[in-house]
Amino acid sequence: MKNQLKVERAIKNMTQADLAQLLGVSRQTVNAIETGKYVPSTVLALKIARIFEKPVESIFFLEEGDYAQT
Amino acid sequence: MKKLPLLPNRCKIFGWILLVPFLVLAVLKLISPDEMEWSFMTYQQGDYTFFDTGNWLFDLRYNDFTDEFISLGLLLGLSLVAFARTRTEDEWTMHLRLEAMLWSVILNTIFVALTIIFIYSSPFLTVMMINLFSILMIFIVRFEYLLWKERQQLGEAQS
Repeated sequence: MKNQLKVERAIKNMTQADLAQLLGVSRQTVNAIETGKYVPSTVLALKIARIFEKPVESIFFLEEGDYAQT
Repeated sequence: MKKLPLLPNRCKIFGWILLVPFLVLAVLKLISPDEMEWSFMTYQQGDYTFFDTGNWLFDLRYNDFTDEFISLGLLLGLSLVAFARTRTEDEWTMHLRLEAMLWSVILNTIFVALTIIFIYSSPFLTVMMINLFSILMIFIVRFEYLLWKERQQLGEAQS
C-alpha cells in the first residue's frame, strides 16, 4: 500500500509532530506510516482523511502486491 | 483502542533497578549454588510426609529460600520492564510489541528444542530454569532494539 501522506502534509505545511499531535499518536507512528512500514488502522486512516479534508482513497492506494492475498 | 493490561511507564525504571542486582545474584547462584545459601534466608517447611503421618510438627525441614528469592526478584524485574507502556503508547508500539513477543516465543521454542536434543540430566534442569525467564528476556531485547531503531530513523528523517 502506498500513501500520499508526505505530500498532503507539505500542502498543509504541517510537520510530522503537528500531525502526530492532531491524531493523538506518536511521531514515530506518523513516520512509520509515511515510509510504508506500518499500515494504519481504519480509524487512524479515517482521522487522517478528515484532517486533510479528502477521501481516504485519495491518500492511501492499494498496490499490485496487496491483491495477491485474495 | 482497547484498554490493555500494561503497566504505567514509570514502572520500567523500577524494573531496571530491580533487574541489575538480581541478574548478578542469579548468575552467582548458577555458578556456585552452595556458596549462595544465605543463613537468614531459610525457613521451616512442612514435609510432604504430612500426608503419610498426619503430623507435620515432627517433620519440619530447613529449606534455603535464596533461590526462590532471587528467582522472584528476577521475574518481578523482568515483568516490570517488559509490561510497562512506552512513553507514547499507540497502535504502532502495540504492533512492535506483538511482533517482538512473537519473535521471542518462537526463539524460545527453538531454544527449548535444542536444549532437549543436546543437554541431559542435571545441566538440563539448569538450562530449563533459565528457560523460565528467557521468553521475557528475549522479548525485552528485541522490543528495545526495535524502539531504538525507530528512534534512530526518526532522528535522521527530520522534517
